[in-house]
Amino acid sequence: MEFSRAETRRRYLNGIIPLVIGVGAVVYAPMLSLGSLAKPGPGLWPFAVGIVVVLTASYLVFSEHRAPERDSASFAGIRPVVYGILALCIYIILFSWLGFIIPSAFLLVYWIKVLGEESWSMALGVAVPVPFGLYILFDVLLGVPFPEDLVTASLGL
Amino acid sequence: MLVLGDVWSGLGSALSPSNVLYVFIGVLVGTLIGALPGLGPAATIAMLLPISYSLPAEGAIIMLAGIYYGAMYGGRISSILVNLPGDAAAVVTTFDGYPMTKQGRGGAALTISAVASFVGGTLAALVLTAFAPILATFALQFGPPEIAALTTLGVLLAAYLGGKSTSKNIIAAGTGVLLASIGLDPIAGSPRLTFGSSFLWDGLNFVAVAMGVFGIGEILYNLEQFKKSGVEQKHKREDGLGFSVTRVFPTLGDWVQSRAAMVRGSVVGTLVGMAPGAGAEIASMVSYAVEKRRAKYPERFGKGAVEGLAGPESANNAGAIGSFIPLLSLGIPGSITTALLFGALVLHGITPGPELVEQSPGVFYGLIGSMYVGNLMLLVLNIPMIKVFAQMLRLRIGILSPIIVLVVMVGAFSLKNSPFDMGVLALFGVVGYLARKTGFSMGPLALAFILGPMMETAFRQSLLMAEGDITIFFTRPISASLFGIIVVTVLLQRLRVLRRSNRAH
Repeated sequence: MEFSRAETRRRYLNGIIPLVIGVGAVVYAPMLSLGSLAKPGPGLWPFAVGIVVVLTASYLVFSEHRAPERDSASFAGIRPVVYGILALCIYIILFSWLGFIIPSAFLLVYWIKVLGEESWSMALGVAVPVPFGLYILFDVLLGVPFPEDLVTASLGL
Repeated sequence: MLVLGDVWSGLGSALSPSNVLYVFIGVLVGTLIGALPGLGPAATIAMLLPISYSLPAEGAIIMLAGIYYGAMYGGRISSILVNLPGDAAAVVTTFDGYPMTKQGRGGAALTISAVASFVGGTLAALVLTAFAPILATFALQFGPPEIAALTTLGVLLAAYLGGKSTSKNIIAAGTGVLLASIGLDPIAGSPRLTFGSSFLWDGLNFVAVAMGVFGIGEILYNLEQFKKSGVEQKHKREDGLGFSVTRVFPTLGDWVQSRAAMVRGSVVGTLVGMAPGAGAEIASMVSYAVEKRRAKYPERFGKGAVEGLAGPESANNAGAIGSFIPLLSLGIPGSITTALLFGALVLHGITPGPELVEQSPGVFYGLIGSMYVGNLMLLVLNIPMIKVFAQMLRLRIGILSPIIVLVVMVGAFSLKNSPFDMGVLALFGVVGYLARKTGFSMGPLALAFILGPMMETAFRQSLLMAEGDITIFFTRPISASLFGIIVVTVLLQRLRVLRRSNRAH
């Protein structure tokens, strides 16, 4: 079966990336001390599992080109996913600085309006009440101690 | 041993107002979320785990179990009405469920699915009630070699049954075991794979990892698919999803045709569900094959055959409850979702396993009692609400997804009140997305993550006991038998692969 260069590269990576993980475990584990069979050290288990991963990944590198084609394999539509992941990373940082409500509102507006292609009214209609509702549910009712929140602090709550 | 007094007390506990409320919330929320296309039971439980944190242990596990079978049924709604299975087990439902909708019998299909789920779930709960305490008593005799063999069997079955590519499943399982090794060594107590970070001394939190791969990963994948299908989907949303649910009740002929299939499906599902690593997905596929083989006119299958829906639906729920047997009696999760429930129990300070019956009988029998209540509630709640659930499918995923993301993010934060776990969640969301794209199944990773530490401790303790003599695993009768099963399983799998490749040539 003939594949495009991009598809061929993806198929090799499917085996190479786990191979790197396995090799990493096999190389790192002896530094923890393998011990002996009578007295196994902390490194013995990751070493043994690493060997299994290396062997299986090596087989996959050579056999993956024979696997049937899958529609889901193409990364042509990855851009919105990358934007979604970046949004999550920014959210985590802002959450630590500003608390829950403002970062959550921004995340909702961005995800609903930009990624979800909904209208501004829908985005704002969800982004205003939902963070407050979730704040009440988790912080007030369930006692999850969020970082100090800019909005509730300025409202004197 | 089974003590009827304990069972009765468990049922009484399950019927307490608070526990009935937890079951109701679990079943309702699980069905609503599970009905949304693209969100299967594992993702639903992963997303709703945070809600259970502040509940007492018994209430939390009862609610989560309710979410599980609610989500299982909810997944049927999108499978039957719009041919969109929420998880692997729901794929079989589309074979005959969706054709019934196209024939204007979607309501009847949903009702048969609800009744079949009730029958399968209740029969499996009876087996669980009788069998799990006996198995737990037997398992108290297990030492480290037996636990090593059993956990190895669980990981192996998960690898062989997890998805299409065995080698990818083995890699996923191996990666799960390596990820679980991060943290302090369980015997020596020294840091391992922490790369100097104190955040990793406690290891990665399974709940954050699971919510990432199954919850965030699923949402990212759906986001890509949503953008890909773009204009077509938008028009679909504006015009409606092209189905109507008018008549809800099946005909007498439907009941006659489906009753035996429901019972057969219950038996198949319970037996398959009990095998560690198998679960509801395999149960529904096996049941469909059984029904088609038995049918007088198998050509009806795939065109709205009632038995093709009733049998697998019964097997599905029976398999889901059957998978609780190894979880509760051996401490070995039988499926991805029971692995999540395992994580939830540990969060509440309860370790599933043979000692659970003795140390926390209230949790054990209360959970079993709640299964009867939950299955009945599923039936009573869902049939009148079929038309309401059908409307849920018109809810746009672009609005619901970010709300779910927020809930899951809060859930990750609340594990240790640390944004670090939110980062773990996001990272494993990426892993889950990439795994979907490249054909790696995350089920074996999740199961191996849970079983890996048990496996390692058991192997190391066995070697310490035997002073390095590995024949200890083959000289004790139970562990020798289990390793024998492992060898036979591997050989059968190799034989099947060889036969398949010979046929292809």
